[in-house]
Amino acid sequence: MVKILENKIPDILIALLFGLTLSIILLPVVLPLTISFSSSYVITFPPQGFTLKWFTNILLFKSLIDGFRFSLILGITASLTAIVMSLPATYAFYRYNFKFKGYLGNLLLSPSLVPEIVLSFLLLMYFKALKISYSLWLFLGHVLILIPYATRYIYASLVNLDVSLEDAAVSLGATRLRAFIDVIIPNIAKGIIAGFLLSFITSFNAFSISLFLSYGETLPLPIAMWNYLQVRYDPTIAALSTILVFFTLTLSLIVRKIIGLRGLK
Amino acid sequence: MERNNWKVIVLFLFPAFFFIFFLLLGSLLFTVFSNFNSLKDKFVEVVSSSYFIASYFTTLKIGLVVVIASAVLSYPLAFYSHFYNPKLSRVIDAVVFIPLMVNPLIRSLGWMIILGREGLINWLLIKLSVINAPLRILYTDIAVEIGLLELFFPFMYTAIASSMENIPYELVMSAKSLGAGPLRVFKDIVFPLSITGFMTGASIVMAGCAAAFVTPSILGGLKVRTLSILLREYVDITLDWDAATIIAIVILLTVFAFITGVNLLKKLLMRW
Repeated sequence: MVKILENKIPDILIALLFGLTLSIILLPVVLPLTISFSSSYVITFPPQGFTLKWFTNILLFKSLIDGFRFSLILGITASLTAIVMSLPATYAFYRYNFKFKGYLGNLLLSPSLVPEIVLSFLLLMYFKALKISYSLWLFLGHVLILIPYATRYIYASLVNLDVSLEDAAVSLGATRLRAFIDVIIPNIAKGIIAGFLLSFITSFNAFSISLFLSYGETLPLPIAMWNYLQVRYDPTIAALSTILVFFTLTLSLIVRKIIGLRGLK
Repeated sequence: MERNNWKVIVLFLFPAFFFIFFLLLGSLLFTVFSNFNSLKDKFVEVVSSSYFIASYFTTLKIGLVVVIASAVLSYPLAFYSHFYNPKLSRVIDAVVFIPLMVNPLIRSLGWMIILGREGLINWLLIKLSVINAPLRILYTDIAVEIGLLELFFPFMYTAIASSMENIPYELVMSAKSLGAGPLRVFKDIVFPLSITGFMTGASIVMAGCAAAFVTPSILGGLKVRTLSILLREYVDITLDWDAATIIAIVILLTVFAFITGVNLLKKLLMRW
């Protein structure tokens, strides 16, 4: 893009606005980081001294450690399932024309259009009435909210695919299914991995659905943290936040490396 | 269309649509229709209660404030960075999506550290002797609005910025060569031509605010009562499932009303 206009807007105004926007976006992510090294026993600003004890303190809280492990397992299984479910459907949307395609496409994305809190509540009522085993609630709910994300990222990776590859395989005697598994999937592996990682982040961060559908002692990490915050307001939770911010940002950087900045939108 | 492929298509669509039909449509239809009569009887009672009306207006007001605040921040930044400083626009594009990858609970914790009694803002204001005693910001509407602004700013910004990308440069350049300053260019060309972007952004932000849960529950304490907080109370405290169902339906309808309303308005504008 060329610089097409002379700069006549006061620079200072734009600098102020840019600074304000940046701080609104970044401060809430950065501040827990500074607090997690503070030696004060409550969360206060400015942070005082320097200590690493809050990081080791996390290990003392079984609910947080269990929550982390649980969210990790839930995120991986739900994302894998969502990818496996949406991959063939997304491919059918990309490759074929069929009746009601537009409506079905909207339906496929609809779990992200229905507000998460409404969906969580509806599922809670439904699972209770159908007497579905508690251990499946979170898994089913997470898979449902991940389907639209998985679909979107897989679709984005299909756009660069050369479909004549599939026709070539079929003309050489492969069935459509065989061609899909042996030719198409390896060609869009990058998109699938990126879709998996982004679905995982979404599941790992999901709050309402985890709150409504969790049951029993072991809670997903965001809910365990929420419960912790209601009892204690100390830097332990800030230290855990620091670890999680690095964890999810590293994952999203990997995704960015794989599919580029544009794909993230 | 290759006709003999319908078996493949059905096979391919089945797994994902099984989930959607069984869980999404299933839960919606089940919750509404298994209990339709008592919901119908209770609807007016719930919707006309002062509790409900107050929280409906709180929700709308918070949404409106966030729409205005995010547009006020987005417009000058998008305008300036797009037409005057492309480098800046790349920086913003890269930064704007960071918060979306971070757990909303952590961002709310960040806002607690900023807005709390012993938080960043109160510390700054006291240091600068603007105030003597700490202000109460946390657990008010303002705290919720600030938190939601952070949450939804990226959507407003991208909606406005991408509608500006569709404005032909020739148009802006010719206006400039005829002597129009930045304000004039913005008022007469860029603003009218990017209004649909703003409308898209506004509908996403409004819908998002109407359904937000984590931010109002953490930054609002229990003092800011939006619709989703009310829903949670009916589920968790009063155990009134019918009332909760009614609230859930109202949230759903409100969100869809914003989205379809704005789409209709955009179509009207296009024709006009």
